[in-house]
Amino acid sequence: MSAGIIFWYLVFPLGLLAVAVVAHIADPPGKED
Amino acid sequence: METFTPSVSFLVAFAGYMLFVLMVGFYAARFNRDIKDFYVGGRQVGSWVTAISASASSESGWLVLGLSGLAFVEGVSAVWVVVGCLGGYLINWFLVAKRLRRMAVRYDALTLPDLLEARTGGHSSTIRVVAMVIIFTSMMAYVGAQLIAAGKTFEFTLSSFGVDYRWGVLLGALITITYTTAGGYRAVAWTDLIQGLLMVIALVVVPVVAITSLGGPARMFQILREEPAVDRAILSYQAPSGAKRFLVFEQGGGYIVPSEKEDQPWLASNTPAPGALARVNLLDGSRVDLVPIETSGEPAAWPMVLTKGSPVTLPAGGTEVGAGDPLTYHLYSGHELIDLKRRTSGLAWWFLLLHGLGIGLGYPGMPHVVNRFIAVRSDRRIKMGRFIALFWGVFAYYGAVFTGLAARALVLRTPLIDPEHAFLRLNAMIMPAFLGGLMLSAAFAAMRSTADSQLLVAASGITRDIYQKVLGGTLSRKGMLWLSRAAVLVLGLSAMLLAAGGTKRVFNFVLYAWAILGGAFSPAVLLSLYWKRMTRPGLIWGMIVGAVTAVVWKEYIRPGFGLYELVPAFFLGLMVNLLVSLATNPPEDTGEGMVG
Repeated sequence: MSAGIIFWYLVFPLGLLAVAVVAHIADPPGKED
Repeated sequence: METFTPSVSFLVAFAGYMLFVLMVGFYAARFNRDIKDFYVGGRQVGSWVTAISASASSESGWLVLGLSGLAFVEGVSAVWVVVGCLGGYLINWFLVAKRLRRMAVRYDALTLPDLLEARTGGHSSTIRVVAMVIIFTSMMAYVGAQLIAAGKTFEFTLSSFGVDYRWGVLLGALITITYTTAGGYRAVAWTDLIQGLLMVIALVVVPVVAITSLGGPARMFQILREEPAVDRAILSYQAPSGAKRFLVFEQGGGYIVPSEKEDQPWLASNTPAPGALARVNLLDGSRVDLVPIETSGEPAAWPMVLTKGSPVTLPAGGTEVGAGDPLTYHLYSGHELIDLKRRTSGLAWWFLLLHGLGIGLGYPGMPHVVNRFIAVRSDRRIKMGRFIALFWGVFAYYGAVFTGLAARALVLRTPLIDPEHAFLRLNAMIMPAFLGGLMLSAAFAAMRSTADSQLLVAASGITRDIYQKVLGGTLSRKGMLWLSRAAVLVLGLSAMLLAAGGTKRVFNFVLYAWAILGGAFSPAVLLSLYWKRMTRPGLIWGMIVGAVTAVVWKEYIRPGFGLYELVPAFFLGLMVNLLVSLATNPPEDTGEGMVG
């Protein structure tokens, strides 16, 4: 597998999931408003 | 013609799922007291339902059939579309959702036109009428495309029982119309939750099973890399009998000749033949007639020149295929399936990236998606929702691409499939019967979850925006509820008739409507939320120019240039909105509703 495929098919999607997790931790939903 | 014979347990799973969705719809009907319930679920919807239903509505049959089909044809470079689309997810959930919800609550808006009107300072029939015309025409085409996808799926599954495409359209439409009419937004959102979960499960399970059977992802990419450099051209068309037929050309000795692997034997005749079903124009100016082998007599002289990328058209009067029947042509380029930067067949990687980004630009302007943000209960639900939606998006999008790649690796030697059947074919090949039935239901789920939301938005346009707000209709709460139901019913039946008459590629049909909606509303929504200086004339002209640009680009410029119409439509719409707003008097209510 080329580096490009590894990046776009593995690193990029995992990175997006990491963004979701980090955003969730940094700005937690908190209690119902 | 592809054949697939489903087992009893396959059918039980499929039918059981349909019944379950109907029951959910009828249960939801108990909660509807007025149109606020019917159109936005009383604005009491939670995070899971909001996140998954927004995702399932925006990713339609296009995701399961179209995107997997694109990966099947283009190979790994299909990932560029995914990158762009997921960019749209980020914009919608991080920049649009929260502000839009707060603005909707402040103005008590139920629909996107409600919101745009209120944002520019109160009553305006012009905004509602312009928005309504755009929403109505696009949504009807869009719902029609979903029903076409349902027809294709059904045809593939049940053709061995003599059931055809039109029955699929009918079944898909009737189920969707029934639960949407009965249950309104809650039925749509709850069924979307179930359908969205089923979609993502199917889009993970099917490729995982397939890739495992191939020997892992590394092996799959290796198989794709090693595919012999064979160019294949496939013509697919609807025969007068209604069946779908294929003609395959393969490259040999510098020419592309008819394949012997074709399961429906055809010959091409270079003299006009009486039994011809289609006549094909070739690049060198000559024509061939496609003749069924049993009626053709002598084979024609081969090889003949059908250059890579040849435009293949049906000349007027030169065919016995029914008028308006589509004849689609696709060139397969085997040796570039693992090339992220492929440049053949007119689809360079940056073109696909722009294409994907173009799709991403459309997200903030999809009325059937942003109405999820109008209906959600609280900011907290949005924060939860974006977490869920992003996970859903990554798994669903990558799942669809892996489905197409795995299908291509598995059926390398028998490419006789409509690319948009990649998911269905793979499912039929690798999944155990009962599970296969459920996975097939996911393909239906993808179509219904989009069609139901769009029907509801189109109906809200007629009843809320036109009848109640423009014409000043004064029906009682109950009367409005029933008028809304009638609107869903009539619109659904109209879309069904539209779909029964056509068999266009779902991908193209959906993307056209997506471009018109995105061109009109994406700049409008983004500026509404982030630019206080936006004026009513700016909004109106921006919407008109965005929508018109999408149509003009698609019809007159794209055939020669290729760039997806939403890219110019978005930027022109944005520019016109900005310029006209700056040239007109600032609004009195300078974005009072803009709350960060």
